[in-house]
Amino acid sequence: MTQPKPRESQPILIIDDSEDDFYAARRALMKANLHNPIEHAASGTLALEVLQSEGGVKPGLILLDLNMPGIDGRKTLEIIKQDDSLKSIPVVILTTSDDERDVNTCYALGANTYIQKPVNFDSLLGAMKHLKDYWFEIALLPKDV
Amino acid sequence: MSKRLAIRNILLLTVGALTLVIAILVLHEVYGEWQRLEKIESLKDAMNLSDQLFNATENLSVERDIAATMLYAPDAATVNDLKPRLEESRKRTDGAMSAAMQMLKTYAFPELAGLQEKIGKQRTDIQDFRVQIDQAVASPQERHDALAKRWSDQATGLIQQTQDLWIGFVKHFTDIDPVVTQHLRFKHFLGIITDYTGRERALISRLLVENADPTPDEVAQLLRGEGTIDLSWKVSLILADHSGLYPAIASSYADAKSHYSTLHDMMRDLFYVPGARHGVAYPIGADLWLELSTQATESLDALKEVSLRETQRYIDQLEAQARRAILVHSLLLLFALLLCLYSFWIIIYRVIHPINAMVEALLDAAEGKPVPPTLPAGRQDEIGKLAQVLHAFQKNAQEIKHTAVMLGIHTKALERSNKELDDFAYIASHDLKEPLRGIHNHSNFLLEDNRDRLDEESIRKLNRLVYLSQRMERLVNDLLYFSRLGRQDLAIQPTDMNEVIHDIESTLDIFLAERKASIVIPNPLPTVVCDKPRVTELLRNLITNAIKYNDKPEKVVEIGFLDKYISPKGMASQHVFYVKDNGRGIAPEFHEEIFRIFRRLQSSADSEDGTGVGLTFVKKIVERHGGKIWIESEPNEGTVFYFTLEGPQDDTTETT
Repeated sequence: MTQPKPRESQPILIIDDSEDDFYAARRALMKANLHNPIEHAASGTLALEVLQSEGGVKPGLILLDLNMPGIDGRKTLEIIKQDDSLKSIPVVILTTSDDERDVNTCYALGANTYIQKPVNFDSLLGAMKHLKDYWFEIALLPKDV
Repeated sequence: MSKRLAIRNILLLTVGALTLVIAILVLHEVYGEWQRLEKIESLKDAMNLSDQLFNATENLSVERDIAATMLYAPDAATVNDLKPRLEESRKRTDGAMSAAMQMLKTYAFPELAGLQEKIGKQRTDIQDFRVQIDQAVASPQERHDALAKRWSDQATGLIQQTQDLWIGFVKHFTDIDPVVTQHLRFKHFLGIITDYTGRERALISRLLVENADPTPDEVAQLLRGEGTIDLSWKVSLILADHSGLYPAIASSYADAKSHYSTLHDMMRDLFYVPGARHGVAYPIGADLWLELSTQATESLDALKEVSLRETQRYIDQLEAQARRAILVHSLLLLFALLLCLYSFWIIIYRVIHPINAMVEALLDAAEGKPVPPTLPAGRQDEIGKLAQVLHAFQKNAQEIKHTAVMLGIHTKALERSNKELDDFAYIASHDLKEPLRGIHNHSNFLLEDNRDRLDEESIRKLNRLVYLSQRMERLVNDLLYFSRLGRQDLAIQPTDMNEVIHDIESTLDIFLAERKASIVIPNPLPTVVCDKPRVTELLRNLITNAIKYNDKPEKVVEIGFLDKYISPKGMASQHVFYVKDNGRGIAPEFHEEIFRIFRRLQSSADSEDGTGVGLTFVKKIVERHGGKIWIESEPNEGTVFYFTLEGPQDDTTETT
């Protein structure tokens, strides 16, 4: 059995074109006592570049926005989940959309969690706390390849 | 103008029908005339036969008398004198009799068959008698009283039977023409005169030859004959006069009558009174008597001939008349048929043909084909009018088609526009949310990070900012939900409305208890096919509204269903639900207003959290089901919301 908290040192990658949303998410994660390094990619293209670069450190968790210019969240998710070296990274969709079609599409593509971005920061904080509890305290992931 | 022309068409039709009727009548007439012509022609044949029969009797009568005289004759000289006349009369008798019998064969009247047979047999007997007479007169010195008597009887019998045959025969033709009938009867009486004259003559010849007085029986016989002859003369005169025969035969008639009268007057004193012969001998000889009587017979014969010619002339005239009538009627028939054909031709080519063309054109128009320009639109009658109307129709049809196409385009555009509007609301509310989150978060972060450096006023304002951004989020969420109501398909299923109300009641139980509100359902509600969650939301909105905006201490919400409802304004609807409260009521000017998005007439008594979209959602849900919603309310008299969940049921239902 692997240790439940092996990814403490692994960075959390937030893919979001909104600087404000990234800032709020990072603040919520920090407030939730997650001390992993937090990295930001402002677009799907950038994120994939980082993720697929040789020797790069693989993030322990990805927070992914859906509606972005260029390669959007759906496409990014699809590419991540089809990439053998990336597909084990848990992907949490964090988006404004609560459209049923988006929810279904994302789970079908292999998303691990779907969270609608709350306006209220306390709600966001609550959600991030749940994320931490689940993904960093409880969940067991397959060993990195 | 067109009316007159309409009359012309009707006139044509009438003329066509009338001429057809006339043609049929004339045809019937012509047929009758043909039949009459055939009868008249048969009458001619019958006249010839009748003449032959008459000749037969006449000649037989002459033969009988001459033969009788010869049998009684005392001297060879007289016999020799008479012999050629006897031969002549025999020849004539046989000729006429044979001809008549030959002609009779073509008729074959059943009731005359027996008589014909008898006559044929008697003619054979006559041949035997002739042989006996020839032998007897070879010895003139002897008397042949018995033979003369038998011969006379025999010949008279044959004459009588031939006359019977003649009468029976002519009976068949008497109904053809009354005048001809009278002619025939006239001839019959001439025949009687000839016969009786002959008998008288024979008797007198014998008396003269024997120089004997007539016996009382013979006198009676002579008187009877005289009476019969007198009567016959009188009757024949009447008949000749009535039938118009008389003028043509007048001279012959007078001649015959005078011959007979001369002979009769001459002999009357000598023979009719017994013992009138004062002396030993009659003043005239038998030969002179025969000479005179033959003259009388010949004059009768002449009269008969004249009357026969006259009859034939009359029949010819009848025939000519009939032929002329047939010709005239045939021409009339031809004319009527031509007129009839012409009218029907006119009807076909001026009415039926153009109507057919227009029917074709209409069918073409129905398929959207262009109008053929050959329609008789220039005509001034109703056919022309019809064609003009058809043209107008086709033009209209094209316009309607064009309009329908345009309408379709507009409808599509409208649908697209609506869709775009829904999409816009969705995208806009999404995009609105992002800056909203930023405002909210940064205000929060400011409050958290810099609380020590901020004064009271700044903290209050930042808190206000947080509150407002939250409120703004609710508005955007409502807008988003509203747009989704328009975009997403309904999940329809049979739904028990009682169950729906029950569910709402149980989820709202605390809310209802707190506000002392109750829900009343007077009659069980039906099961309807609808989107159950949406309809639940609809009713929950109406129920909570009815309670929230209610100032009564005991708040009552009544929910019911009506099969048919007619509003105070006279609008009829079917399958109507209603939600009725005892609240404050709504002034009529706001009856439409309340359904507008983010519109609140007043703050609800107990909450600040409403965004004023509840009734907008309600309206949208009703409309998505194809129904309609409206309210009836007056201030302080409560409010009734009516709604349907299906489109109009029939034509009597009006739509809003």
